[in-house]
This record gives sequence, structure tokens and C-alpha cells, in this order.
Amino acid sequence: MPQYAFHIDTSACSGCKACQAACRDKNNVGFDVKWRRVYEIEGGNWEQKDGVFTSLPFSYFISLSCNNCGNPVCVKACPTTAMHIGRNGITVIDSKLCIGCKYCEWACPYSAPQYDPTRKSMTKCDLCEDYVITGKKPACVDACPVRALDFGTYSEMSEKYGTENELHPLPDPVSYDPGMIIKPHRDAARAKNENAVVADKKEI
Amino acid sequence: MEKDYISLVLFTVLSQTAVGSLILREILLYPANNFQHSREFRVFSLLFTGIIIAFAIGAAFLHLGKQSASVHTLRNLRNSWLSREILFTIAFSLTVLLYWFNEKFLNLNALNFLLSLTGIITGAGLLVSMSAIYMLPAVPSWNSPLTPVSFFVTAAAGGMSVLAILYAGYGPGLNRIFLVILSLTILLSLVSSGFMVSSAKGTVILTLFTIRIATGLTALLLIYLIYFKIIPNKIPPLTVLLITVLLTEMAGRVIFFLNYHKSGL
Amino acid sequence: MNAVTEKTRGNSFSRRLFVKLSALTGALLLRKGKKSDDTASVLSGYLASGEEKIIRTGCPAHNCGGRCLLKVHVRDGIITRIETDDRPGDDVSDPRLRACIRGRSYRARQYHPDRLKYPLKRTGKRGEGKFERISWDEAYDIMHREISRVIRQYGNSALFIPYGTGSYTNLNGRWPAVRLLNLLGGSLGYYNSYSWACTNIATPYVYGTLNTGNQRQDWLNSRYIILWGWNPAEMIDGTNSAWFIKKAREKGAKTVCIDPRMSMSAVALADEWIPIRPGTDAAMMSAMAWVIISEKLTDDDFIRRCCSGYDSTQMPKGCENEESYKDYILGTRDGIPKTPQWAEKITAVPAATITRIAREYATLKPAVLYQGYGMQRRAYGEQVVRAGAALSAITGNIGIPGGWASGLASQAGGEPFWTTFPMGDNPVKARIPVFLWTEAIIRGKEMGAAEGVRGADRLDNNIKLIWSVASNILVNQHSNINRTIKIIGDEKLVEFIAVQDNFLTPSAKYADLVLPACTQFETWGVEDGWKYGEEVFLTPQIVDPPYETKSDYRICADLAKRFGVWDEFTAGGKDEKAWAEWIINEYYRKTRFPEMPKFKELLESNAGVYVRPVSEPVVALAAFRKDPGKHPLSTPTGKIELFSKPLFDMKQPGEIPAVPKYITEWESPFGSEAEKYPLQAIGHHYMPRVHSTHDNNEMTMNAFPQKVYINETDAGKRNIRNGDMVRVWNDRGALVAKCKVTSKILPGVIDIPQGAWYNPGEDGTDFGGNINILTTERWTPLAKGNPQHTIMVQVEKYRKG
Repeated sequence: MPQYAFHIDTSACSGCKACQAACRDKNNVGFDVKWRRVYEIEGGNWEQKDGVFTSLPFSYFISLSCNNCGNPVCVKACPTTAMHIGRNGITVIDSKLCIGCKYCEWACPYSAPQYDPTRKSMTKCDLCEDYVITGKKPACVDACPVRALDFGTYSEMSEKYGTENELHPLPDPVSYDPGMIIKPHRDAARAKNENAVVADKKEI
Repeated sequence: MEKDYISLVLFTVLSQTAVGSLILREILLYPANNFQHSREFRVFSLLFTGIIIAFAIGAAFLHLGKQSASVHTLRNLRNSWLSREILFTIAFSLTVLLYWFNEKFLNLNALNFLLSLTGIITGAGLLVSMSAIYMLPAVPSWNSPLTPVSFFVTAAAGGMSVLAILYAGYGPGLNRIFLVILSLTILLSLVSSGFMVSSAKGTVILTLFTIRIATGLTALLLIYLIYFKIIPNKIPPLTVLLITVLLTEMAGRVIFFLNYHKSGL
Repeated sequence: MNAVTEKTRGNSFSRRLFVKLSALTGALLLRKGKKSDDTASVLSGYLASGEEKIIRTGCPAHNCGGRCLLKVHVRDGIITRIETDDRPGDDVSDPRLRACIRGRSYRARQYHPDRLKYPLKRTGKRGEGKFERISWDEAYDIMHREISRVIRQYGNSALFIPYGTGSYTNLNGRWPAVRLLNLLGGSLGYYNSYSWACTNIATPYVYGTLNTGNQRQDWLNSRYIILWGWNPAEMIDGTNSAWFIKKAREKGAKTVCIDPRMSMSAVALADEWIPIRPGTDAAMMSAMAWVIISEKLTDDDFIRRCCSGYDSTQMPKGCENEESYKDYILGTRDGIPKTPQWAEKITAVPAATITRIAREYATLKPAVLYQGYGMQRRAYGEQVVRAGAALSAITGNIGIPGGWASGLASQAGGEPFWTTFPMGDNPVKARIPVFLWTEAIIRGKEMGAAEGVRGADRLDNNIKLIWSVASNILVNQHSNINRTIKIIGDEKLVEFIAVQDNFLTPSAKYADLVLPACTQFETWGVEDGWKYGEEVFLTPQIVDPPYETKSDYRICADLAKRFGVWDEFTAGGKDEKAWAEWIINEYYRKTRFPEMPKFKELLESNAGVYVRPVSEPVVALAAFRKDPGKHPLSTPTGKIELFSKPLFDMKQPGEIPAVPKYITEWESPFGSEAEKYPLQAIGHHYMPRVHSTHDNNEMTMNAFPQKVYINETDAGKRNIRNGDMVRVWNDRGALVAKCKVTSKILPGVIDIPQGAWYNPGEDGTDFGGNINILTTERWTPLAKGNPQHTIMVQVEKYRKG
């Protein structure tokens, strides 16, 4: 089974959250969970000299859902095997087995699994499995107004976009092998140097 | 981190206290060759431990979204530390139950030895698996040696405080060295959480830290007063001691859970 | 039988589901004791079953700059999913028309429990928001009685249908109401808009036309693009505009965003962000001109052939000795050379940066200087429009592929029609500037040319009756809410107010009669582009109007019956669908798109849209550039007028100069008002809303809550922390809202995204976060437009009581 992967062009993402809305609409998820999250990275300072500003802030956005890791720590963590790699090579949740203990949420460095109090179960982006098996792309990908998202098998994506999967402040991908290929924003290096953080975490 | 971590605070602190009380009981019981310990002490100590672990399990259930599915939790023993923790919890609880039954009704010495050994192994297993659960690379603030240290310290401090009550009620009287070790453990607990709090910010955490220090110091003061026999070595003051120790550990655990944040994001 | 008046409402099944949805949402509200976590939109996905139909339609875009394609899934008469354009191929000439968060979140608006369901009559004081349910019969009686009375008592010019874009297809919105009143003798007209009043008036003074924009695909031919106060990623100034900029960058164009905020476009579309003090853009533009002129980077041949008023050699007759554009820039008359050093103090942009941008713009040709609209919704918005156009002119970036003439920049080679529904002739000839409707209420009879009245010397009436269709302008979107509500709250001034809408908006609360209109998914319509685009959307009726709601057209048709003009109004019995057919077959096919499929064909294909691909983008003013003698502009000189004699003749050089100038605004950081109110406030167009539409949409607002954006420095001085509630006030009013402390806005400036619903507390403080509680009713000198971004305010941490 091939590993699926998202391409995320953070140099073009405007943070408009069309992907998130498309995801909500398609998957009928409530506001307690966000299967696709748009992180706003913000940093830098203002320096005023003689009435003009010299040093400037910077910012970029990262849109993340589930990266369908090659080494899914969520699957390892789950006590009930509710979280498992399904028939199509996509990590999914069997909600009949799920006890809602949230251990997968802790284990996932990308916060992909989230508890839905309405369904009393952990929930997670399933890469729009129903779309993918018919050859369509996930709802979020086909929503992006600037085409900053793409989706396919890892080999297709890496052929098109390379293999870059590191971006500040995402966790070191080595131990997870995420299905995620990133085009860094022009300020990514600066953000790393200045250790920029996610603005307004509560509002992701 | 959501509000429901409170049940996890209760579960971790109470289960660790239960494990600590059992293991310490066995350590203290056997070198002394049983003679100093009354039958009441032996039965009541197990009953006490059993009650504490029962409360802990109850709290753990509150944390679950869907209790009905909990029968499935042992399906991933191969990979999941949580599965293993649950296995150890069940095994430990059953051991305590059987142990108590034997001490109270059967009194088979050979069985006692076996159950004592199982209790120590499952209890230690519970502490180890619980530590492994929280040492997640995705949560750097938990992924540190402080996590197992704080769990074992809770087990020691809580366990000793429980035994102190039992000694006062049914035992041969309190050994002063025991009090010294307990006070050192509490000190260690307070010091270790100092490292934890330094990585966290916010008024809530500072308040909790204050509560933790205040209750911890109260516990130390109580031990001091008992040590120098200013107040009597009786159940009521020792119960207060247990409560202060549990409070200080719980405050520490709340800080621990509030420290939950993902690397980077 | 005629479908317009006879057909009964809704089928009971879909109505039952709607009731169920609303009830469930209500139950959730009760259970949670707070805003529900799951809106009806989410629930509708669970509830409906049965066979799925997919209908392609245009997004109910309201007054969004984009027009996108939606794929609406329907089961059991309930919309269960909204996807977007998935046509095969996705290239620059015919890209997918992908909807943003507003379109994708439409179910939450469609199935909102607060939808108006029945006609309502006011019971309390006007504005108190107390109503009782009445029948449509009674509602029509009241409308008929009041309109007839006002016509009899005052005349038709006392009737007014305000500007409004809450429902906005070629068929829905205010157009049917205008048609009806025109049949009854007309109503007071207006011209201009709230969106771009200044550029709409100022652009023709330079170019003689509004069609100064190339088709957008042409941006891919540019080497340098300045997004000046322009934020297409968020306001969606044309579907795919942001994507075209991305494509231009991929081809090597350098992009610069000049904006007080690090907007979404500054982050995603620009190589560089240059923060600038609001209201000082004309100063930076003038300084750029100074650099370009003094470093001889001008396109002298183009200036000589195509411009007028650049220097003393080309001044119009009768103005030979007046100050030319070059005179102003070099300071030969006023003694102030408009150098980067001069501009630095005004704009807060370092002189070196201004110089560099000027050089880049003048040398990396062809170049685009795209002007956003926020900078012209200001005190002297006319100046910035002309100053930007002047830069395009002196660098010769006009009439060439990859260039851009600035100004309003409606698409050359045919622009969208906005509305094609025939409204007939208005027998009342007088028209007011749209922004001055409150003036026309309190002193209409005194208004004349000085107030911009057109079509008559002066008005013969004050406005006495307002019929507001799909408009939130009565309270929410007009300047200075505290003043406005005093005026419309006075029953002696406006004697009758009817509001027709989907929700009980802040404006609807001031109505005497509320008429429940259906959404665009519940009736027929036709949409085309906004400013750009080669698309025509057919928006069929997808679901039935719930409860007793009706389409705007049907309400007017029913009313027409009362007035005895039903036949004329419906043109012999046309219903909504018949009008949609007429618009496509008789209008679009006979004008702009003769090749497009007929209505029936388009409907049956379920394509939702007809698109004419753009493979060779039209370049505005190309013929003029080639041969200005043969293809003159319709300005007095036939050329690009850097000096305008008509403006000179107005003899108000201080506020309406003949050459574009930077003028210090009437409220600015440079005046004494700044002592009391030191912060500039702007109100940008916010991602989750289209003006005030969607402010009650939980799905969009959950993603982008209303906030006051304030710089860390300004927040620090005031002891304000991120997430605090802050109070923002000036002499006109006060609002309270949550704040976001950010580095992404210039110090000294706060941003209160416009369009939040006014929600007054007991003392009149607005808790909705509506910027119009702070804005001024004063109008701009030339366009008589809205200067809603020119305000000074103070901010403090909010404390109850």
C-alpha cells in the first residue's frame, strides 16, 4: 500500500481557512474539533528610529491535517487498536472500539486526533478516504483558492515537490515519517533563528 | 489540555499512593518477620490500599469518553503503554484483593509470599508503564526524567503517609527514622517540582505552586511536631498529614498536566 | 395559473426538516448553556437521507469581489454539502472558480435558527426590536397603505430604496423594488457606492473612463507588482486574483505589498511588506514621483504623446501658468520638494525604501501598481487615486501588456453588468450621492449641487419612507451609528421604514415592518463577475423557501398586485425562473456573450456557469497608447490628465487640487485631535464576512472571531494583553471587543474589521465591535464619498461599569 502525502506550500498559504471550512462541511464536524488546522506563525519586532520603522515582523501560515505518518505513533499509543491503518493505507479510527482516552492526541506531534464530545470518540482527518478511493482529492486540497495544497501518493508528491518536510516550528519529522512535503515560506529561516511561535494557540 | 485531566490527577496520585503503600508494607513487613505487626495492621493495610486503588480506577473511568468500550483496552499490549498500564492496574488490584482475602480469611502463609511478590511486581510495573505513557516525544515538557521521578516520589510519600496512619492505629508505633525518610521524600518532591514549574508560566500555575509549597511545608511541620512529640502520634494528626501530602502531590500533578504542550505547535 | 402569485409555499417535508433542524440547534443551545457547538449546518449533514442530487450554481456572493462556483448536494430538499468548482483542467485562461470560507460555510447561514420566518410588525418603540408576527396579507396592506400615503402626501421623491448588497444577483436584492416603485412614479435615486466612491469619481478625471484594468491574466506578463493597500487574498477582489499573482511570481515577477497591516496578501503574495501610515499613500506616491523625475526614470516619449499637465509645456488652455504636476512634485511653486525625506516623516516609510521602490517600479517594466479600495475610503480618497494613476503615467506603464493604469481599473474589453434586471425609467430624476442619504432625511430640501445632487437643482422632498431591501446600511454599515439611529429613530423624519431581509439585522430592528426574504439558494437568479471575469452563473432554485419566506421578486410582484400594476411589473406574468431565462437569452446572449448556451441548455447541462476562457488578455488603453490622436480618451484634452481643468475650475484648490496632492486628513496623527485620540483606526474587509453578511454565521466567525488588532507597543503602553476586552472610543461613540495583540500592524494604528453587527449596551456602547460607532458622516470633497477609514481613537483595557 502506498503512503499518501500532502504537499503544503507555506510560501503561498494566506491563512484563509477555506480548507478548514471545506473539511467541516464535507465531514460534518462540530466546532469542538478541527480536523484541519491553520497555524499562524508570528515573530519579529518593530524598531523605531526618527519616526520610521526599520526592523519588521514576519509571519506565515501552516495548514495541517493528518499527515498519515509512515510511523504512526497514534496507532502505537492506542490501547484498543481503534486507531489503525485501514485497508487503503490510511490511518483511521474505529469509533466502536475507541474509548476516548485521548492518548493518541497526546502522542501525535501534529495534534491530528481530537476528541469529539458529540460523538464521544476520538476523531481525525481520514484524508477523505471516500474521495481518495474514487480518485478524487481530499476536500481541503480541492478547496484551496491559491492551490497551495496538493495530495497524492508520497512518490507522486515527492517527484513533483521534492522531499522537504522540515519547517519551524513543526516537530522533527524523523521519528514519525510524516506524509507531508513542505515548501517553506521566505521567512521560515528567520522564524527558526528567532524561535517564532504560534500566535493565538487557543484559536487554531 | 482540557478540564478532564482532573480525573487523571486523581488516578495517578491515588494509584501511585496505593502502589507505594503496598510495596512499603511488604518491605517493612518482611524484615521485621511479621511479629511486630498485628493482624489488624496486616488486614487493614491491605483494605486501605484496596480502597485507594478502587477510587483511582473510578477516577480513571471518569476520564473516558466512552466507558462502554473499555473492554477493548487490552487489545494493544504489543505496542501501547496505556494497554500495559491498564493490565498492571487490573493485576495489581486483583492481587491486593486476593491478598486481603487471604490475610483476613485463609491465612495461608505460602500464598501470602506469592501475593506479596506479585503485588510488588505488578505495582512496580504500574509505575513504570505509567511513566512510559507520559514520556512522549511529542510533549517535550513530559518527556523528561522528572516524570518517573515525580511518580515514584508520589508513591513513596503517599505510601509512607498511609502506613504512618496504620502504624499509629494498629502497629507497633512509629519509627522515627520512618518520619525522617518521609520528610526527605516530601522535600525531594517539592524540589523536583521546582524544575517543572520553571518551564511553565501564568498566574494559575503560580497559584498551584504556592498551594503545593504551602501544603508541603505544612506536612513537614506536622512531621516535625510529631517527631518531637509536641503533638501525639495518633490517627487524627496523621490523617491530616496524609491529606496534606496528597494535596501537595495533586497540586504538583495539576502543574504537570497544565505543562502539556506540543513541541512547536 | 401564475407561478408568481398562486403557487403555495414550500413542500411540507422539507419544511418539517427545517423545523427539526432549528429545534435541534435550539436543544443544543439549551444543553450547553452557551453558543451551540454544532450548528444546524452540521446537523443537516446527519439528518437528511435519500437520494442525492448535485446542483452546480453560483455562490450567493452578496457583495463579494469574487464569483465562485458551488456544487450543492441536496437530499430530501435539504442542502447537505457544498463543494466547489471541480471542472477538469485548471489553467490560467479558464481556472477553477474556487469558493472561499464564506461560500463553503453557507449551510450555517442557510439553516441558521435565526432566519426570519414570518412578516413582523413593530410593537415597541422604533429601534427597540420588539415585533409581532403578522400575515403577509396584513404586511402587504401596510406597505400599500404607507407607500400610497407618502406618494399622496409628499410625492414620489420622498420614497427611497437605499444601497444594499445583502442579496445580490441580477434578479435578487433591491432591483425588483426599484422596478415596482418606478412603475408607481419613481423614487429618489442615488449614484456611486460605499465601496469605491472616490475612485469611481476620480478615475474618469484622469482617464475619461473606468475601464483602466487589463484582464487579470495579463499580470503574468508583469515583472513588478505593487499591491498597494490591496488584499485580494482576503477580500477576494475577483475569484483567482490571488492565484494569478502567485502565478506571476512563479514567472519571476517581484511583488511588494504596501499596507498598514501585514495582510494575508502581504504574507502570501508579496516578497516584501512595507508598512505605511494610513492616509499618507499620496505622500509616498508623490515622493516616488520625485525620485522617478529627478533620476530621469520617466518615460518621456509616453508623457509627451499621451499626457496632459505633466509640466509647463503641456498645460491646458487657460491654465498655462498654473502649477503643473511636475511643479508640485519638485516643489517649484510651494517650495516643498516632495522628496523621500519629506515623505518619510509623513508616511513612516524610510526614505531609502521609498527611493528603492520608486526605482524598482520605474525600471522593472512592465510593472503593475494596483490600488486597493481602502485607501480611497478616506478623507481625501480622490487624491490617492489620481496620484497612483500619475505614477503609472509618468513611467509609461499604461496600455502595454504587463502594465497597469491604476484607478478603478474595471476590466477592459467588457466588464460585468452587475445588474441586468430591467428596472425601467425612474420618473424622479433627482439623484443623491449614496453616502448622503441621512442628509436627505434631515435636510433634503436644502440639498443641491453643492451636496452633489444630480438630475435636479435641488431636492423637492426630505426622505419620508425607506424600503430597505437586503441592506444593512440603515444602521450597521453607514458612518456614525449614534447619529444615524437618532435620525432614523425619529418617526417624524422618516415616517415609515420597511426592511426586507433574511435576518433581523441591526438595521431591521429599526423597521416598522419586516418582510422575510428567502436566500439565493431558494430562488432563481443570474450572476456575473464583480469587477472582472468572463463568467455568467445561472443560480437555480435549489431548495424551497422555508416557512413564509419569499423571494425579493415575489414580494414585489405580490405588492404590484395591490397597486394594480401586476401585469406591467411581471411583464405579462414572468416568474423568477422566466426572468432568469430572459436575462440569459435576451440580455447576455444579445450583448456580451452571444456564444453562450441558451437558458434551457445551461440549466439542463447543470454546468452552473458559462465561462469564456481568456487566452489573450485584453490590455486597457492599448489603442490610445498606440495612437492617441486616433483613439483619444474622453477627457477634455483627450489625454491622460495629470492636471485637470474641470477640477481646477471648481476653485477649491485646498481640497480639490487640479494635480494630485497629498493633503493632511481632517483627523490625523498630525493634528491636535491626536492628543486626545492618538491612534488611527482602520476597518479592513474581513475574511469571514462580506461586509455585514455572515456576521452571524458561526462557521465563518468561529474561524475568524471579531477582534480589535493592536500593535504590541500600543498595547504595552496601555497594559493591554492579548485576548483582553478593550474599549475603543472617540467623540462619536465607543465599542468594546476582544483584542488581538500582534506585531502585524503598524504601531499607532488599530484595525477593527468592518461589518460586525452593532449590539448596543445600555449606555450605547457597542459590544458587537462595529467600527461605524466611531466613523464620521462627513463626506469627501469631490466624490461626496464615505471616508470611513479616517478616524482617530483611543483604546483602553475594558472594565465593566
